[in-house]
Amino acid sequence: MMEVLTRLGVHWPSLVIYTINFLVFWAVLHFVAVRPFLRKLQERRQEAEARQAAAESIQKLQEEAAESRRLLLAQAQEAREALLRSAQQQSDRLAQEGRERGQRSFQDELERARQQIQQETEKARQHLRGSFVELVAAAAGRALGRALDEREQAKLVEEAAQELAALPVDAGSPAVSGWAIVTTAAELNAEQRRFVETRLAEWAGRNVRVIWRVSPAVIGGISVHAGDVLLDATVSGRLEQLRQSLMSQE
Amino acid sequence: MRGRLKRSSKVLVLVSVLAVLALGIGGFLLRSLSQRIFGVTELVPPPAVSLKPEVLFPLGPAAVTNTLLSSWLVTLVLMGLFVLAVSPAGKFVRGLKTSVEFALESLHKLFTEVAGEGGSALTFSFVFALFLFIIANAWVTLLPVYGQVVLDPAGKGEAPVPLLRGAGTDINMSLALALAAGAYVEIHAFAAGGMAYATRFFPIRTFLQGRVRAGLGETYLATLHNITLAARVFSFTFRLFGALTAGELLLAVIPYLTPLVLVVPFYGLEVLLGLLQALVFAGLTLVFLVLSERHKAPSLETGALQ
Repeated sequence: MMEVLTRLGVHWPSLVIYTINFLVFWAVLHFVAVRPFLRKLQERRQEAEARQAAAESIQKLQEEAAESRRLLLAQAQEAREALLRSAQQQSDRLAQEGRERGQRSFQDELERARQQIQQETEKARQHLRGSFVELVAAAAGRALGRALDEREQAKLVEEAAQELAALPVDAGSPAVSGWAIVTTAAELNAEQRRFVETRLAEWAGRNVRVIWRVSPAVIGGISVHAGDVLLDATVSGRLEQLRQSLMSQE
Repeated sequence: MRGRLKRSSKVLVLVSVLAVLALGIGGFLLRSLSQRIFGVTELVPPPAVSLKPEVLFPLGPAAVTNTLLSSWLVTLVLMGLFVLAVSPAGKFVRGLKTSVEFALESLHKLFTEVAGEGGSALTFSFVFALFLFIIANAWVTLLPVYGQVVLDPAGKGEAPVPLLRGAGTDINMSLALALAAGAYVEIHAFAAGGMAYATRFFPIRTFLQGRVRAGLGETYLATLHNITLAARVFSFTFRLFGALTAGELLLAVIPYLTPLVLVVPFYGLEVLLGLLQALVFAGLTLVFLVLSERHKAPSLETGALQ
């Protein structure tokens, strides 16, 4: 065996030298190249893992940010729609209120105008009626003043005196003091005066001293003012009553 | 235009093939033609086949052979390159550093695929050193100085020997590498299995326990194991030695037969052969290292060797 090996060239010292040669090469390779390389490889791997972790973290953050943005957008969208709905409702309400207020104001104004028109119409009507009545009274008075003759004047005085006699007598009344102011449209004759004085005396139950006044304004008839009693049986008084009656009518 | 270019390139390829064939056949016929025409018998000297390396000069009990000198030079150049690659310097070093890192990264990836992530740095550097040492010693023989620069150690001009010869053709290198690889695998197995692994060499514990019959059976198995280890070393040695020596012989014979262009493909073949042998040697060592992980200490659960 050894002979075969020797014939093939196996030489133990050379074998030892080759072995040492290889071991030295291995040691140099290990300490100079492999160990620093593996250390560097480990560092690169750790760096790559750190980068990978950072990238994953960034990706996670991005996803979270995207999710947050999506949620914010959704919330903003909801808020926008709520605002729009609220604004729309408010706008509708305000428009409705405006319409109602306008309608109410219009109705009020219309009612006020209508009342004003009615008032004005009524006033105008009253004024017109008053004017008309006054005109009618004046015309009637003027016509009556021209139309009443002495006989009719005397008849009116008599009727007034009759009315006076029909009045109730109050014992405490100043009218019974004995003084009276009698106003006529024309001067009464003595008979007429006596007739009136008689009637006054019947009314008062005593003699009444009469102060006679003549006023064409009364047109006709007689007015007796005794104490606090006023008997207005003149034509002008009747016309005034008529006017008042007409004016008080709608 | 494109058709014309395509046609011209086809013509170029055809002419090149014909030229190569003509040079090859011409080279093959050159020897006999030159002998007839010029009377010259040896254009290229016949290859001198010698399994043993030639001794250049003695060195104590040893002798410095041309293969040993080549391996020293290769080792020095490689170590110089690695030292240069890790030193801070200029553009060349940056490129070298990149190349070294690329080679280391590629082989470390391969190493991790086989050994897993738990492989130690020392194991990787050992396998890497084997690969690099073998491939460098195989490829360096393709340099023109190998076999052409001769030396006359005796000084008589009778038997000049080449100054450099590929260390792969020296069985001492192959045996040294195989022994180193085997030793590392066994150390690794011991580290993994502890003293329990020692019983695989000789079952002394069984004999000490008085179980003679079981001890005899285990002795038989241990013998087979030891033969396997020795066979592994021999297998490693002769595979590497045979392949690299055959490659060098081929490169010596082919120029003798046909000295012109046809030699070039064989140089490419030699490159492939060197790569293949380095890969096989380092790969098998790595596989044996991974297998040695099985010789771990007995498990508390099973009570048996895994």
